[in-house]
Amino acid sequence: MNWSSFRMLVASITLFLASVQAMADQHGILRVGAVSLRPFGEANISDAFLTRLAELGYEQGRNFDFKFIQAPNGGAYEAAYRDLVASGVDILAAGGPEAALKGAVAAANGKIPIVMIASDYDPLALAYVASLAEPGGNVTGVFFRQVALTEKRLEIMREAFLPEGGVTIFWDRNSADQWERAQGAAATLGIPVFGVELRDRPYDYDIAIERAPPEYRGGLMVLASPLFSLPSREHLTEFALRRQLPTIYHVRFFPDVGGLMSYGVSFTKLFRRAADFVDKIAKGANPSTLPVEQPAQYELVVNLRTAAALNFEFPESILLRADEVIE
Amino acid sequence: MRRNPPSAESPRLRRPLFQKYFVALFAAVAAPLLGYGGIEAWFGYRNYRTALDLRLQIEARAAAGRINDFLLGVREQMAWTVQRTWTTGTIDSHRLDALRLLRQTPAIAEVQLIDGEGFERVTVSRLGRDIMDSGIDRTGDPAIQAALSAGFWYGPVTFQDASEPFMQAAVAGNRRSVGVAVASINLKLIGDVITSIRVGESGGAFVADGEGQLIAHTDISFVLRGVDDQTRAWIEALRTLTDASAGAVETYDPARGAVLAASAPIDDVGWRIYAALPLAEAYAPIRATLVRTGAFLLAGAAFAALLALWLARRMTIPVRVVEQGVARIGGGDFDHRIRIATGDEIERLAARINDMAGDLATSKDRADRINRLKRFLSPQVAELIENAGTDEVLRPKHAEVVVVFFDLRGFTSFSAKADGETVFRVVSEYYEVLGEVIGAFEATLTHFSGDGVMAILNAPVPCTSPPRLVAARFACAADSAIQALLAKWRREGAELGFGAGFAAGLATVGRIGYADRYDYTAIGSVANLASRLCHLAGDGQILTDHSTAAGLGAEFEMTALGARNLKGFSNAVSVYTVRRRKEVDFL
Repeated sequence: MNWSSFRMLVASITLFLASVQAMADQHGILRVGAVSLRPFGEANISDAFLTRLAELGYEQGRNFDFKFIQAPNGGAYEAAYRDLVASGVDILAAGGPEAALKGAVAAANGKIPIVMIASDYDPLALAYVASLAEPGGNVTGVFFRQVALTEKRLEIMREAFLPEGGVTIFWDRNSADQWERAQGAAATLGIPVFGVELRDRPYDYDIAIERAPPEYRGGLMVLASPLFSLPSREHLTEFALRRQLPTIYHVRFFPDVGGLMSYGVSFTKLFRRAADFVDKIAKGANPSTLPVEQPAQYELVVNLRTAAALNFEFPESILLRADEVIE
Repeated sequence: MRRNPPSAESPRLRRPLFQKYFVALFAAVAAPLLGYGGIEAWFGYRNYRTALDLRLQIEARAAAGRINDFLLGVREQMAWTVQRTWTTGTIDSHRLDALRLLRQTPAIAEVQLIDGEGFERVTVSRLGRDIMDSGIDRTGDPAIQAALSAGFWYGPVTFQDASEPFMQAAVAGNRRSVGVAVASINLKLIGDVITSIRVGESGGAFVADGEGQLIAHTDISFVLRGVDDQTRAWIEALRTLTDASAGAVETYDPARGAVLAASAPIDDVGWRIYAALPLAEAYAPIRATLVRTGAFLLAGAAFAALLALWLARRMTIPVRVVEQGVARIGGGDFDHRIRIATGDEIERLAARINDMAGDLATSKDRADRINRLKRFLSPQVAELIENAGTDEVLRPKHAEVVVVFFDLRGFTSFSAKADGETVFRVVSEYYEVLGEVIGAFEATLTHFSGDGVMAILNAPVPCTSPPRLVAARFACAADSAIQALLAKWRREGAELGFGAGFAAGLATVGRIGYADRYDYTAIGSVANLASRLCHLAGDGQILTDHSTAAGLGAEFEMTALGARNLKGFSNAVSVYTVRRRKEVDFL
């Protein structure tokens, strides 16, 4: 071996080692992408999910890269997820409405694992997963029966306050399934309901409520959709208070900001659990055999201050059931 | 001449001493060490394994206790709902009891209250519809019947949506009129209990029911996979294994790989909880101990080897030195001395060998001297001196001796005429015959030159018979032997004769010469006289003087030849011929 070929050998070994190092570095960083209609910081994904990942040892910039895109509307999910895929993410997180998962699935094209937080729809019924025990594809995560909960929510609402005429239900495209279910449940429960679909953003609740016949304005149920949180949840709770509308929501974030009550899952726990899924997949678990999880508990949160403002008193059975009472 | 160092040409040893010592010493040190270490390690492992079994069993029992507590807690909470007697108008309070139960017990997803008559009165659910007075008759429900007879009942584990584990439980009150509470328990909530059970660093627990279904695991995913054949086969095999073994068993855990697991039953529900510790962690301490022991043994063995090496060298080096020393001494270097100061038997052996080398040197000197003596002494005499171990006898002294001279007549003219080869052959034959006679009479050959031969009797070794008699017999024997030879030569054309002379008297005998050239001879007038007499003698004549002839006696016939003037003698000497009277063979 002569000198120049020796130098070539050394150079190629160095290059090889460098590329191995680069690959290891690349491999060592977990890239997770998420899209939300709400800005980063307000989106559910940005709090509990990232907190849990931090607890699991994922440190932004060191071994973790969280890429977030705010989608301007429900139709923009797919494009946003495609951008994330193009930027080389390892795992996609799809929270909120079905549109998010739909966009993520289209963008991932079966190649990138997707952790869903299916809060507003039923992924099993919509065939995003083959079964809860064995999802069978690249989609897994957490899911709860928001549609079934709609019925339960009506029942609790009736128990908490039974309006003489009936109740108005605000729904939108994202919560169309729930609205469908609510109508059936209302019939079974014998509660007259009037549905008002909200379309144009930002939602104008004052106009919407006017669309309901006056006898249905004794109470309000708002279905689960991220758009009801836009531009802020206070918009909705302040409207309800102003219009003296006892209202039931799907998540405690509303009673936290002046809503009367909510019955649903703990989004904090849900998103924390989703982070566990990301961790498992990052550590090599196969999403197709990683069972979809459902929360075992639902929380009833009531706001007594709002009740007082509405000159309203919760019956004992509701207070008994309440997991948290805001005074 | 010295040999090369022996190692160069010593034959290769089949089993060298060094090797034997090394093996023996190494075995002596290493065998007990290894034996002890091995036994210690084995018992250490056994004890550790026993302790590990015990620990895992304790963990399993403790975990079983916690699951039991969980189930008992659910049961106790349910018991609060079966205290009020069912009468008309009490349904609301029963409903509140049911709501309170849901509030208190997160694991209960739904509860149904059955009244004393067996009718379903209240259904309260977290997700499903609340139903009042459904009117369904549950009297035939085995859950109700079992609860009424035993106080409580646990149903089988079912997987909702083929994923989420649920179990029905029923609790009856203390009297029939309070009815029965039936609850649907979400077993995922056991997960909180299971997750909090830690076995070691990376171990944990899992619960399986009697049907081979995994119902709780640290990693809930394995439970949510629902009922699958693989898990069932694993659980059933595990159950068989733990039933057969008193202690912990080695198995595998889908989340942890190979584990050591001990089980404890959860009797009320027929479940079994397993406390599992990954093998890697379980055996880490004993492995560390074994590695330490192994290292210690290895170090011990190495030390033993070094010690054995050192001792074996110490023991074999002196042996080698002795071997080399002996080889040098054996090679003729008698001055070589083996220098060893080991203070032991080998040093003593070396000393003995040194002594022996000294003795060898002495006896070599002697042997050399004797070898020289053999040149002029008859073999018998030489033997005598050799046996005596000293050549003291060769020292010069005055002694009564008989000197005998022989020579051939006409040899000078023969040697002038004949060719050298014939002369040498004749001379050789002559000496051969004469040497035999000299040997036979134990005469001392002092010198020979050409055909002349001088011999002495009675010195250095004294004769057993009177010396002059022996000398006469000797001369006669020589004459008769040579006469036969002369006859043979005459036939061959060599005209030669043989004459002899002898005389007895005092002479100085001893070794004369220089360096290694020694001769033994007699000096004195008697030697001159014998020489002259020989010179005087004709063929076949044996001459002697008067005084010598006087003592010969009747055995010989003596004829006086009269007084003759001999050269070197002032007085005339009376000369006699000596002849054997009878033909007696003295040889």
